[in-house]
Amino acid sequence: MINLFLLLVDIGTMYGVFLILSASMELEYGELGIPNFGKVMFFAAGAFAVGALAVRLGTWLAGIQWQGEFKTKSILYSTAVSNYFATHPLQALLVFAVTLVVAAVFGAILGIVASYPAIRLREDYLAITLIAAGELFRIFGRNYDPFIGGTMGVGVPDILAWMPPGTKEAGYIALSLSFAAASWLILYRLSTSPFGRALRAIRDEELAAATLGKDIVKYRMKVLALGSAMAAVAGVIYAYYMGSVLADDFNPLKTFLVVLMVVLGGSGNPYGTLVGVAVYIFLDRTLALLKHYIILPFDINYAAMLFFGVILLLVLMYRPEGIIPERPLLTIRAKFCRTKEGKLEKRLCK
Amino acid sequence: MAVFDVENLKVGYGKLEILHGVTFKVEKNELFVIVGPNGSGKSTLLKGLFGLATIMGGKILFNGEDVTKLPPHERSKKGLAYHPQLNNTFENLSVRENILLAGYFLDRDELERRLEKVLEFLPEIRGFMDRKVRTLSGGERQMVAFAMNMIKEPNTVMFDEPTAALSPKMADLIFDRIVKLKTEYGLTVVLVEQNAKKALELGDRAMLLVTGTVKFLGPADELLTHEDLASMYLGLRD
Amino acid sequence: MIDPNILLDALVYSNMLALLSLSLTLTIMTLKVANFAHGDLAIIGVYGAYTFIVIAGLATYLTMPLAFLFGGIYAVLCYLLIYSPLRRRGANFVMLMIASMAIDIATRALLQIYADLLKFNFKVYSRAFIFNDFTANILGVQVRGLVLVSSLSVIALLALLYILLMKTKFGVAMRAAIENPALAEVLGINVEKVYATSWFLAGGFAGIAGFFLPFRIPTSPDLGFIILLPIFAASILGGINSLSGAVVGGYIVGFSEILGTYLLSQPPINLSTAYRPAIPFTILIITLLLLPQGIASLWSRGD
Ligand SMILES: Nc1ncnc2c1ncn2[C@@H]1O[C@H](COP(=O)(O)OP(=O)(O)OP(=O)(O)O)[C@@H](O)[C@H]1O
Ligand SMILES: [Mg+2]
Repeated sequence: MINLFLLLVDIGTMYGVFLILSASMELEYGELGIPNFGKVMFFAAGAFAVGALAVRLGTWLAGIQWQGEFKTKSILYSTAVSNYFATHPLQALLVFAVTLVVAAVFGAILGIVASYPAIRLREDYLAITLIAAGELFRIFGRNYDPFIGGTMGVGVPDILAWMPPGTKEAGYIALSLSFAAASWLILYRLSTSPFGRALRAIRDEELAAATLGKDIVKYRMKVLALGSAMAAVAGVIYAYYMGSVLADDFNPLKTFLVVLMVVLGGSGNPYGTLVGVAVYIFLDRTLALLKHYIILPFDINYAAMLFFGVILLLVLMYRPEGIIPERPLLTIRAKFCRTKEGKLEKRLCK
Repeated sequence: MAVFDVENLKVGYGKLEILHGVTFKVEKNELFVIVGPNGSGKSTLLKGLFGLATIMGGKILFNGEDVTKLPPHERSKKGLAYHPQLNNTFENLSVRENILLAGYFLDRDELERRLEKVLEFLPEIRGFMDRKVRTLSGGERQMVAFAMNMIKEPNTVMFDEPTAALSPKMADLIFDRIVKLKTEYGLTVVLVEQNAKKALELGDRAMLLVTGTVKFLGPADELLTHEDLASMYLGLRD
Repeated sequence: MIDPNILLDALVYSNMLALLSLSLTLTIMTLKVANFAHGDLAIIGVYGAYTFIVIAGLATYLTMPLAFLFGGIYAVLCYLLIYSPLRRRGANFVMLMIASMAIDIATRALLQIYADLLKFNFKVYSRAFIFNDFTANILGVQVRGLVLVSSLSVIALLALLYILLMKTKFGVAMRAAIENPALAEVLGINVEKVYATSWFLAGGFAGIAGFFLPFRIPTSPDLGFIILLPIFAASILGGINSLSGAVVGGYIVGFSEILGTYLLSQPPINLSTAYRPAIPFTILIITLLLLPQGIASLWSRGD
């Protein structure tokens, strides 16, 4: 029997994590026209920061002497730290706060680094550069054992261990959803503010935006820093919720899924992300449920991948604006339009 | 029967209308000149006649046949040729390859035969048959584009500013061949020209386009000497 | 001194990469967008060939044309069913790029499912399989068959492509349609047909390259994604719009990758060979920053 409570916890928490990721992707792609095909790298940045720091900080706070290799012992010590956290909530929250800040700063710095090629390269070159960078980061995590335990992965202490059983799970949902809400509000505010309008101006008409005096380079850097910090925060929550970090979990398929959610929901509209993530999670869970009832001569996970690939293609072909299309009312978009006589004129376009 | 019988033609791009109802006729074996200020829609008209721009209304009869809805290659088969203003040759191909492409559907012997005739008509090309077009001068390129049309042995040719940005000497050479098309080969020529004076001197009849509408239609020399129009739109006086 | 076997291995790998970067470049010339599913075409080719080896019992090298056929047909289908209609519907650059990513995901899933079915129905290895090779005796030196076959294939395919593009009417039409599709259309050339043919050839070349894979390393469905980075690096190094550049890029990236990985994994550095992708990545970055027009710009202005 599937435990309904745990299922809901899982759905709620993962909804939050993916919403943060989608909101950051949407911020970059929907607003700037740069789809960040290296999204998983920034997600990993947050999770890896937690993997590398949480258990070390925890043992240090708890005064536990570390013996043996990090790779083989981290799971063991993370359990010990969790036990310590069960009676020391303040220390637990301290570890959470420190890792969160470190991860966000790390993500932002990576985002600023990524903005260097992002401003200069054409989109497909940029995409392969970011994908490759993400893969190298994953390979590093996988092969350098002292970082996050290599192929064994690393244990992550339970920062909510001090909460009574049953409420703890609700705690993770609350944590995830509150960060998701904050991320979404950032997206919403930006896409309706003058700043957001500037972003759209850049996306729609580089030349026009430049003549408006907006400093494109600076905007792109800021957006990538912000988006990447958000993705890193998603990684932090994901790591704590999962209780471990495994480098190979952070492969480009994750990026694909986020792109799918953004395009499916409707890019250019903040409400689109809310819907896109929900639809994805619904489909994903339905497929997961089906696994229990259907027996196929092949692994159904591959069928799910095929399904999602085909869905994305169908959306691109038959409903490129997504489920919830961009609302032009959200921003006032000035463009060069042609008058009846064929002259160029700057005004609102119909 | 007129070669072109165009009635209330509206042409544009996508939803944007550029020509707002143009009516005119081009007679057999005449040199019909179209002039007008920049952006008035001259190129758009030629594209419409060849089927490259959206036709939003009106009718085009070509040698008595309704071609309004035909795609470019069908019009091409009926003997209509078009010499575009820009990008009228393939830069990375040799001159020979460019001309060969224009005669894509001809068999080898026929192609050879026609090529000989074209080279007689434009002997200058012989000197650079195997060079890539991107290494040629503007005038030489115009000649290549010219040859690409001649290989199809059309009955009607539409030129869009074939002498733009050419030296006067080169322009004269091109004009000379265009006139020959009419006088020696009996073709019908539609010529869009920025060099209005020269074109109107050579032409039989002329049309003045201003912002998508016809401002004058009649004998070429009449437009050339027209009190207001010539100075107002063509800069031919003062 | 470097072991000659390593040099030969680098040659084989580079032969493969040259074909892949050449064919990627050919598709970019028609679509104007890089196809992220290009590596998968190679794997389609090799699974097609492998199926005939294990089921029909064909001799390994006899299935090479099948690899060409499978890769080519899959590529044409991608073009005709997805890219071309998308472009007709006005999809922009980024949308085409996202589509190619979706094709990559779907193709790899299809290959995984196919591998499962192959194993389930015929009880054969369907992942991490390898091809057996023969050794040839050339003037007393033992040489792996693959060294000869892959090198000869590259020479033959390049010669064929050259003749097609430079000496035939269709090839001229192909180059024309790539350079200026609008004008080609005006001249009555069926641009769509020409592009589809380019995709078939590109897929076929990729399929042949894929066929060489299992001689070197165990081959599985995801390998197509893993080889994507060196393919892109080679194509971009070559200058994306130059077929000759793509071939040269393939050899530079191929040799650097194999020799570099070998040297870095030796004492005193002892780096894990897992970091191998760092080499094409570095080449990619350096090219994009220092020579964005690619090496072809050093000898021509696009051909
Ligand atoms: N492909 C196009 N899409 C949209 N508008 C176009 C397109 N081509 C031309 N136009 C517009 O149509 C109008 C007429 O252009 P056209 O090229 O026909 O002018 P023209 O008379 O040939 O000018 P010129 O003497 O400069 O060649 C111009 O305002 C131009 O901006
Ligand atoms: Mg014009």
